[in-house]
Amino acid sequence: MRPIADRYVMLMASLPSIRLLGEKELPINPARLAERLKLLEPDDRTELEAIAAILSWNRIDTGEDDAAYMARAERTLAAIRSATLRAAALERLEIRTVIAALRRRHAGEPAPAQGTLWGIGRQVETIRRNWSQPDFGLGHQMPWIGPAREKLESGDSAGLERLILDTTWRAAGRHEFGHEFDFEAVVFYLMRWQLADRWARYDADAAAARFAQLLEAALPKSQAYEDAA
Amino acid sequence: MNELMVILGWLGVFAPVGLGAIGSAIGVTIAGQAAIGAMLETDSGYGRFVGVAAIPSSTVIYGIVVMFSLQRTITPENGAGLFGIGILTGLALAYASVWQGKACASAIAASKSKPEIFGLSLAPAAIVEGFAVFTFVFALVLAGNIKG
Repeated sequence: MRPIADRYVMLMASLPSIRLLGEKELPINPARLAERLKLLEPDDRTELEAIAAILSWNRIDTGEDDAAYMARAERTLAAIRSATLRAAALERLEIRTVIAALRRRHAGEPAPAQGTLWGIGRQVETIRRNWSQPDFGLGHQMPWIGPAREKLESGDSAGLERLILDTTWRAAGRHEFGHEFDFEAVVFYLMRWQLADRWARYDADAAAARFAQLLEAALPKSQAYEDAA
Repeated sequence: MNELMVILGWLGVFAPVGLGAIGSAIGVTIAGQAAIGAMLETDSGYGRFVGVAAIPSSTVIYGIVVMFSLQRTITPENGAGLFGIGILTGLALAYASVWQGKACASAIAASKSKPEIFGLSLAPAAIVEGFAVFTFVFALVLAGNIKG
C-alpha cells in the first residue's frame, strides 16, 4: 500500500457514491468526472490509461487480433505497480474469459486446442480440460457460473448482463477493502462508474442484436451457429 | 551519562507537544482535504465539514497539558522517567491524530451524500479520541509520581 496522498483524499471525497443497479442516471457525468481526474498524478494517469486500455470495452479495438490483445493484456498486468490493482484487473479478465468460454460453448464450438491463446487467467487450462462440464469444474470457486449458464441458455440476455455486472462489482468490492483515499480507490471508483454506466445504458433489445451481429462476424462458417440460427 | 539522562529528560518533556503537533498537522490535513473535496460536491454544510476536519487538532492540546505536567527541574534521576512518559505519550497522540484524520475523512466522504448518518459516521473518530484521552489522563497520573 502506498502512502496516503492528500490530493486523492480530496478527489475521492469530491466523488458522489455510486450504486450499480440504481437510478438510470449516473450521479456524476463523464465531463465532470474527467475534470475531477485532473488531480491524478502523471504516473498514476499513465497507469490508469494502461489499465483502461485492457479493461474498458470502449478502448478495446474489436478488430485487434486475440493473441495481440492477450499479449498486450499480459504486459499491462505485469507492469501494474499495485498488487491490489493487478489482482483486480486479472480477476476481471478471468470473469470475461469464463463468459467467453460459456458463449463459445453455447454457440457449439469445441474446446480450444491445447496451446492456443483464447483466454487470460489461472482458469484457462481448467476450462479447456473440463469443457463438457456445465461449470467447467470451477463452480466451487466461481459459483456464479451456473446461473450465468442458465441465463445464457434461456436467452435471458438482460439477466446475464446484470449477473456479469453484479459479479464484477462484488469482485471489485473484495479487492478495494482498505483503499479509501489512494490511487487504488480512484481506479476502483472508475471501475464502478463504468459498470453503473453500462447498466444505466443497457438496452436489452439492442444488446441482443449487437450480440448476434458480433457472433456472425466472429463465426461466419460455424456449422453450429448456422444450426442455431 | 548524567548529561545524557538530562538530554533525554528534555526530549521527554517536549515530546508530547512536538509529536502531538506533527500528528495533528497530518490528521487535520487529511480530514481537511476531504472537507474541500466534499465542498465541490455539495451545496451546503461546509461549516460542518470544516468542523469535523479540525477534530484531530485536540491531541496537540493534550500534548501541551502533558508537557506542563512533566515540566520540572530535570536531573539525572528523573530524566529516564520523563523520557519514557513523554515519548510514549507523544507517539500515541501522534498516531491517534493521523488515524483520526483518516476516520474524519471517511465520515466527511460518507455524510456528504447521506447527511442523516453524519453523527454516527463520527463514532470511529470519537473512539480514537477516547484512546488519546486515556494516554493523556494516565500520563498526567504518572507524571505526578516523578520526583523533581
